[in-house]
Amino acid sequence: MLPTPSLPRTHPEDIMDALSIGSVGRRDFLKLAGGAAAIAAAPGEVFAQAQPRRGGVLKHIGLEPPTFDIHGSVSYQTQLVSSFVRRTLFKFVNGAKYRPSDFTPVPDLALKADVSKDGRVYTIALRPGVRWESRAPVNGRELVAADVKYSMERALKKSGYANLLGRVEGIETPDTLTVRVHLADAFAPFLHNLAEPWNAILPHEVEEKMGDFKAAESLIGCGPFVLERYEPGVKAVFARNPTYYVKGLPYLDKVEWLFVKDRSTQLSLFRAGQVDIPFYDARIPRTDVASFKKSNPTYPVQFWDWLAVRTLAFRTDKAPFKDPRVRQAFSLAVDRKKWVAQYLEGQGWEDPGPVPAPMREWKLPTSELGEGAKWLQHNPALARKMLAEAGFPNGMKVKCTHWPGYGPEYVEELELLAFSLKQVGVELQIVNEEYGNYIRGSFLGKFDEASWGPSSLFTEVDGYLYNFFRTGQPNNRSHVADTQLDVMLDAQRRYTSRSSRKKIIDDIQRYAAERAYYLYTPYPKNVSSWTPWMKNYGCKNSFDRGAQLEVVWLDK
Amino acid sequence: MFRYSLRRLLLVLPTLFLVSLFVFAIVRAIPGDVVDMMLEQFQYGKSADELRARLGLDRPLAAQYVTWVGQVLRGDLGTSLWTNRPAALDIAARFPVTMTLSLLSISVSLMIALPVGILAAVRQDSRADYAARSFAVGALAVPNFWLATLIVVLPSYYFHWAPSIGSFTRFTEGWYAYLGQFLLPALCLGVAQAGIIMRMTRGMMLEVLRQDYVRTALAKGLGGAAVVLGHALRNAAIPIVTIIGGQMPFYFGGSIIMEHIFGLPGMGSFVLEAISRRDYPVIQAVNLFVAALVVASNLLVDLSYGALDPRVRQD
Repeated sequence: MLPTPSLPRTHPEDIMDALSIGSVGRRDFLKLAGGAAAIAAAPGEVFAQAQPRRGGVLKHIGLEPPTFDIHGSVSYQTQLVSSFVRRTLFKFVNGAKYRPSDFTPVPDLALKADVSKDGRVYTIALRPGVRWESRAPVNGRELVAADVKYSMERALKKSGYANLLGRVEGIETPDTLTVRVHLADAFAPFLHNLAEPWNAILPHEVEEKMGDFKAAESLIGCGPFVLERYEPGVKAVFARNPTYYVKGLPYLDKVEWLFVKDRSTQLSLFRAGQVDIPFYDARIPRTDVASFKKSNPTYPVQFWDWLAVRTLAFRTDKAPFKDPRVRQAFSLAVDRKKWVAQYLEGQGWEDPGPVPAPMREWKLPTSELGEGAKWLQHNPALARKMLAEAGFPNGMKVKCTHWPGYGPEYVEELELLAFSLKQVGVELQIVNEEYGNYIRGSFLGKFDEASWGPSSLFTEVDGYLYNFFRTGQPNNRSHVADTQLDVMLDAQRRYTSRSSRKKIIDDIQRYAAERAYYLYTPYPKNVSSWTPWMKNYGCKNSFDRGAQLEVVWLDK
Repeated sequence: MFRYSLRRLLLVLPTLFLVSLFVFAIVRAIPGDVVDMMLEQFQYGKSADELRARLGLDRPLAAQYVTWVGQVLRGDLGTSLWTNRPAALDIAARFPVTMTLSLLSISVSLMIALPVGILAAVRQDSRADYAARSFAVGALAVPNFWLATLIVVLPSYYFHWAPSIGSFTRFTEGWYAYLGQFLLPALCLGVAQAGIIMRMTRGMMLEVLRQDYVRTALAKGLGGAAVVLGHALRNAAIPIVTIIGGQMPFYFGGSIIMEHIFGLPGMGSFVLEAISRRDYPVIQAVNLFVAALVVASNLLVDLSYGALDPRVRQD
């Protein structure tokens, strides 16, 4: 175990300050985790900075989950709601001071973690004195290692995200506050993924009593909030958990998570000050920003980095996209600089993929991509020449599936892509699909020629690499089957040293740019707003809404 | 009257049977299979065959239909494949919302359409008539979702005010507040239908007012109001009632949009979510329930003919 440093008693929010050093290595994280835990564990806090106010009800436009079972669904709606009540072993830093893609982990239900030299054994020390809610069937009992073991085993058995825990060979509980996880291979994203809301710790009694975690009544935890009321189709009301282990948090008395579905209604309520946050991540439409600033000049408006990249996926397993020249020609047709400067008015990323630009610690600059950088330039003449060499001197027609329900902004982006391709003789025939068909078909690579759309959101770089490129992965929409790439993808998961992992991820980015398996189109920054009396709110690329809101207060 | 009512009631049975067949078949005709969705989108299991068997979807369609009808006849409308909640529970919670909205919308329609329609007929080709007819055309031309959106959006932009949405009050928590939250959506939904009913009222009243018995009544010295309301309106009522009865599906359909815009927890959002998740039992239950309601409302309309016109009773 790493030693726990002696640190002054302070406010839990200062844990974030203490750890605000940008990205850290995994071993660094383990040290920080231990230190931060010591701070968090210290009771009787003293506020040195601007005094947060306690109290108030935050009204938040939210989403109704299809189920409350975090392992029975990969739905982000479930994770958002669950995170208010159920907590994870670690969490990411939250608050106004942190970047949206700052995924520095800090302890939550754990105190610290130690990893063996071969990266296969993780020993996690739990925070003592954490208690479940004071109601049946848990009745305020202490959270123990057996709960962690039960939850992890359940996730491995039932969750669609189970592969993001690596190959777990076994979980031991040497004592009531220690958990030891044995992996078959070193798995670099392991600790990071323990901070995801789908990895929350669950009490086994709930499943024993209720049969599953599908119903709202099963939402029992030890987090900052407790579920006070759930009205299907109306709202969920979360109240402060009086037994939350962090003294003084959360600041809010309640959060009303409202299931108002109509976008114009959501924004109207927000303009009128009836809700504090206009969407689950505070987003407002880019097209409404100007009118919004006019109608509500005191409301903060923030452009922030988003991680949901857009890709044109190809059937690289068959003609014509089996030929790299065709894919590279497609890439050459897109004027990324003009796209961002004119269409996105400078508020976006040219991002050539595969690592999203906001993941700065992993992103390789275009200038360092080597040979692959050539295909990221805008060169229609070369594109036409390459298409001719590939056997398409008169251009080509390509069917591209898409779900228009993502919204008008996405439809415009796709039209812009079609326009770009038309300049090199490619007619992109857009096939609009119904959501059910899209999500179970095109989204999983089941299309004939090409498909365009945003990706899922991942907070660990592995999600944008392994899922997109590894042979046989369901999210490998381009049907990439490249042995050399597979070796690199597997290797980056095994590298225990951050610097070594970075090197191989750099190589993957160079290789992917050269092969152009996907065409990454530029994408906009998100734009969010919230009421001016909401303090310490920071936009975040994460579904851990509970952790994001526990540090927020209202200053009316 | 008894035989007339019985005949109408018996006609309902084959209608409901056909509706049940249609509902069962059409749900399965929606592209996208619930098992695929559960596995691929929400990861509800590991094997498609296992999941299909667990949900009872591996059996022949005819067997599934018979089982479902059997359950329905026993009062069991089925259980959600996603939440394990009985569909009847959710319908019971949400139907009153949709029903209240529909009834209030009909009331709004009638409160506008009947007086305006009668006035337009009695004062044919006057300014009042032209104004009423212009209103009718305008009401028909304005989409209710557009009107609703304007009502919600414009005040928030200019006056920083919006209707109270998102904090739904149950009837048991206060009937005044409960009804109050339906006023704006009922107005939006009711105005468009008022145009249709107003035109029908005016047309029928014009026809009836030219009948000999009306002229006779006036010649005998009966007051204008008594003739118009007591004799003419009653005889003009059958087509108007038919129109209202026929509009029931519209009120239900329109309420889906209003529920969406005004954040009301009615049947609309419930069935939309069920469709997007391919939750067959819920979709079937809701559709069958709504179909039965429409059939019932048509039955009521048929029965009201007898009450309004004695000749129908003798038929």
